Amino acid sequence: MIGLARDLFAHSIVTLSWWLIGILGMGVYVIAVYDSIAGIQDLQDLFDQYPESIRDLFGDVDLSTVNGWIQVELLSWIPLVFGMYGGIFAAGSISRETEQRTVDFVLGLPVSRSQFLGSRLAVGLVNLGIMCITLFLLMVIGVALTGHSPSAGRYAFALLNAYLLGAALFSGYVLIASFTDEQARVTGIAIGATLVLYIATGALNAADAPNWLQWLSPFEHYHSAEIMSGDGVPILPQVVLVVGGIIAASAALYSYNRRDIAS
Amino acid sequence: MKSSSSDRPVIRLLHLSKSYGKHRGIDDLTLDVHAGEVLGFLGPNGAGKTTAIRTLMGFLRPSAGMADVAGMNVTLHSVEVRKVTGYLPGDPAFYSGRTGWDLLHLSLRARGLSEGILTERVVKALGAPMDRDVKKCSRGMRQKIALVVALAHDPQVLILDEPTGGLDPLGQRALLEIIDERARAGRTVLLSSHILSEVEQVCDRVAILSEGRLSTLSTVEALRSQKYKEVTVAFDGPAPDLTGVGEVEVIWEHEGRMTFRVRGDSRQLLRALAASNVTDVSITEPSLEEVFLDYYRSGETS
Repeated sequence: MIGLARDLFAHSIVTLSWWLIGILGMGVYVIAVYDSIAGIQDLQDLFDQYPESIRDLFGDVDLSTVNGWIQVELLSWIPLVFGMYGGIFAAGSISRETEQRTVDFVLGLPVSRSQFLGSRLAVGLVNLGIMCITLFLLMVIGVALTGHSPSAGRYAFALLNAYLLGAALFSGYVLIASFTDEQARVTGIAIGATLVLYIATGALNAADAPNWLQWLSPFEHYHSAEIMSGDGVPILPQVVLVVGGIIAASAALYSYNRRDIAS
Repeated sequence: MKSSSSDRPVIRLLHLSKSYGKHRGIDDLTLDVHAGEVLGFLGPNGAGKTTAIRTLMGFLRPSAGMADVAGMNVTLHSVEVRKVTGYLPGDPAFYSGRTGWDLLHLSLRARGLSEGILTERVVKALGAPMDRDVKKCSRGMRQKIALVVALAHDPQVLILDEPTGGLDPLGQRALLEIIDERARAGRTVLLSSHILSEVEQVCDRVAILSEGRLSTLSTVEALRSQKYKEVTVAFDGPAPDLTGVGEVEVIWEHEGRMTFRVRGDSRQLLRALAASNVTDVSITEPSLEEVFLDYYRSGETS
């Protein structure tokens, strides 16, 4: 499995680099412009006038602080990127293998299906981790370079929460890819589902939907705003994301081990 | 190019069936392949050859029955089965951005090997373009790389789905020699093919599949002998009396020459010819292609 994962990782680096360039570009831009907008009261007023559901999505924070600004402009949407990356990676490394029949080569070797799928899960999780670590370093270094005091602990926990959310979404998309052979279909489902879940989280909040319904959305368990505001790290949502991810990954392994791989 | 085989079954299919919804891929397939034997799967498209092979390789789960390779159940011990097997999929596809060497090393590492004992022999014989990015390889080049991957570790069992597909004539000949050589070394080979001449050349037995069922399992020689012979005779006087020879179908008769197809006991035919004024005779066995077509047509008719 290590050999398979190493091979996949080596060949995912170019694509990962482009995602990192995009994320870093946005991160640099957000941090760089903070000083020029920090004193604009109108911006905070505008934000305060947003519907509650939208503010819930971004996080109800003080936009005049650097942490509040980073939360609204970067951390509030970064799980969307992680979710989309996870879906595209799952489609490309699992469904595409069946669609293009390269899976015949790999599973013609003494490699179990669990090892095959496990290597895909492992590399996807590592790549998401690399994105988070890169963002963390950017935030710490970038905020320090702009003359402010970085809150490394808050950044780390907020990004850990984002990572767990991204990992849970990725595991869900691996589950879909485990029984869907068309790469384009899985990619479409993953991107669509990520956006719908993100928007539905705010909508359910605004509609005062029952708690159990809100809990079904993975984004409901993302609390970067509280973490960035210094309100502590809620533990239960992290546990829910970990358990959800494990359940989805286990279901994917079960499904992939039982399915037929036709020619 | 025939090899000798022992009685030890290395590949065993027992009432193996695989259905996809209402469509039946293979139906109650039972056959053995022994050590040192080359068995050819023959059949028209959709006959179930690839389904049987993919079930053996663990890609498909049997709907009923069971299959063993080297004494291991292919469903329960799929990884162990693939450890002792070299597999060539039909129309092999590889990851782009890798060379043949990359893929071979990935394969060998998965088997816990640092090198394949037959690598040099197979690469050289097939002329496989191992340094080339597979993305830039033609169908035939990919086939050669896939064959190197399947053969390099000298597996106990070779399962090859249309192994000569896309190969040039030199590559085909080299591959058939390698298959024959491995069979002589005691390896077991199961191959599917549409190219009957190569099956005839390298296989000890053939299994003809039709609509997922085993239509015939026989040696090539026995298969031919069960079928008609084509006889051409030249004679003086009246045409030979072929009464009691068996099933005779006269194809052509003109001015003291006659060509007919006959099924049945050859001794009766010879007696009948000896009793007439035959001046010349030639008896030809049908090619495997003709036998196969005959089976296929009779299957369609039935």
